[in-house]
Amino acid sequence: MRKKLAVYFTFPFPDYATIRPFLASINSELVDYVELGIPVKNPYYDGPKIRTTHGSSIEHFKPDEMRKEIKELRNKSLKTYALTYLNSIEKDQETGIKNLKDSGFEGVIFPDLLIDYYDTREDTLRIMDQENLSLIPFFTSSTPDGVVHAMLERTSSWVYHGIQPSTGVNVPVDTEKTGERIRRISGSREIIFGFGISNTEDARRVMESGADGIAIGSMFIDYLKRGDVEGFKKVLKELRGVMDEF
Amino acid sequence: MLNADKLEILPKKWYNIIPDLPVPISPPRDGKTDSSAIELLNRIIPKEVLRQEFTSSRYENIPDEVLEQYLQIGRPTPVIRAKNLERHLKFDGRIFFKYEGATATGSHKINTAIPQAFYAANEGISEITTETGAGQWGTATALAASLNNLRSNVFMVRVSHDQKPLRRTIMNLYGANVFSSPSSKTEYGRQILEKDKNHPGSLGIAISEAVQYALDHDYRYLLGSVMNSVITHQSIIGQETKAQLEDMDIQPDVLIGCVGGGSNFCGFTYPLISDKKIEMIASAATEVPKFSKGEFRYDNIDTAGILPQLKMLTLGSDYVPEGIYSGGLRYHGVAPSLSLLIRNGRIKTSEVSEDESREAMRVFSKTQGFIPAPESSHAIATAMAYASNPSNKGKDIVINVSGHGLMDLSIFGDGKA
Repeated sequence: MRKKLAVYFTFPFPDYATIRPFLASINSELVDYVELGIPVKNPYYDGPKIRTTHGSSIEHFKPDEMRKEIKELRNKSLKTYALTYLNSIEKDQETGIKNLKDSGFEGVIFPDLLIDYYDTREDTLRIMDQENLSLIPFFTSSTPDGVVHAMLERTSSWVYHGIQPSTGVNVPVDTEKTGERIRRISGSREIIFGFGISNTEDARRVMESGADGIAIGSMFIDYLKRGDVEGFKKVLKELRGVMDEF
Repeated sequence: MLNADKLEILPKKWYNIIPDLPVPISPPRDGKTDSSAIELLNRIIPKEVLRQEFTSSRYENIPDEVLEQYLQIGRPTPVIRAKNLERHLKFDGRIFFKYEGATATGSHKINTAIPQAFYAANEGISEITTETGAGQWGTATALAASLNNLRSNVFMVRVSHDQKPLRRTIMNLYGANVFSSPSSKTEYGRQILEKDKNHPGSLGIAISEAVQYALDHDYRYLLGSVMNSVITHQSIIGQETKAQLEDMDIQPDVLIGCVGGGSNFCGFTYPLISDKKIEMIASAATEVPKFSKGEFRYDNIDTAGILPQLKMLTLGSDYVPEGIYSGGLRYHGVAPSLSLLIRNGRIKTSEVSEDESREAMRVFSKTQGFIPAPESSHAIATAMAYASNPSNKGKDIVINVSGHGLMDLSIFGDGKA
């Protein structure tokens, strides 16, 4: 089966005029999943690079514009997922999750669910079930075995595995051992590795550790800042090339 | 004890509790928005230590060179039955203590200083830095550096530097440069001295200076507690204890230790934590009420906020504790994994006042002969209270005595111990 390439954008960083051609340039020949980060005031589990994209996006974020883009992506057979903090909708999860569903997302990744809301996770999962929205379990090397088992039993989607303690940050990690471990526990579930993949070499190394795909975000920020769509497309092709080696 | 016996007791791997925790641990977080304190760790912490900090592996091999150094500094440390204390308390169960005071530097701190220094040396680093308050951690770092042919630079809080000249002498004897902090060695220290040349210093300032000095010179900085990697190294205590108790055919009912940042307690208890029958009690200082008044939230590891934030039970990184003798218990937080296990009820807590701990120190010294550190005496006081409770009749109690108190006798200032 083809290995998956997931691309991440904080929406609408840096602005609507710039991000549109980037999203328009994505097609299902190169990319499988698109993750849209919904800007929040304090994206505390993200690294400094992604954090800056939230700060400048939060003020001019428009849900209708996002809905339009998701529809376009869907028309190109691309699955779109929200990456947002449960913290931002905790006061009214029912409405927050319904809004995500209405926006056209296939599923949601909450990086803070298992960390800050573990005891009440079932409440969130119940609302997700009601809305027929997939919860993508987000694991890291610090997620205990028992928690991984419990979440795999309770969900059926692909799994997001964060290699680094936060996005765009690189500390020495046991990519190989972590890969083996999560593969062993997760059985046949599709595992996408993310957090800390900043070039094609990183991507290859991660794929070698047994990933079914990779998620990339931080490395696109400079292209977005420059408005360099052509450069972005070139990188996507290179990444797809790496994926296809496996 | 023959070397062959020692090798049997000394574990060949460290144990990392993270994959076995009942709930997920929160990751370290950047306290600042414009830079990454997590990434900063790359420049100050030995790579292998950093890898161990974030690993999902349950066990980590202990390098042969580290095992050899563990033997050289007196590991395995003994487990001794405290028969005289039992008699004194008229306790009809048994009390044992694991005696970390038997290491060359007199405390458990050397258990993590050695591997951290070893990994730094392996990476071609020539010098290491650290801070010290009362001096235990600085002493351990100084010896670990010496054993691994590194030079060490210890920033010692000025108040302790001036009041504890013997500690300073020991560190110098091991070859360390000991600087009174605030010092003229760093920009931060110079700024403070400019404003107040008699500034007494603080642990926060000393940490800032040690980290800054490491950054300025491309040295590495050694961490003494709280971090997962440190706790993993300290698992040597609990693994040895487990083997020693099994050897004596003893099934412990309760394990008791003191908590500053939590490394000696976690290292002592985690290797036995899967046995749900064993009760575990963490003992802290009443004057630093982190168990009863601490909040579970993200907070700075260090007062200056240079290092990443951790989610833990904390009194606030700006908390100024009372000037108790147990310097090692004055830390504002509790290691994240221990905080979780306390919150979910697996580990119980107790808080002991300085008067109670001093009395326990006196009783233990008089009955057992070993003079425990004031910090460890908190655990002893908790154990004594436990033994005095009629419902604990006949139980087997094991205390971790994390260090000796030979350098802390000024706690009995009036000369009447």
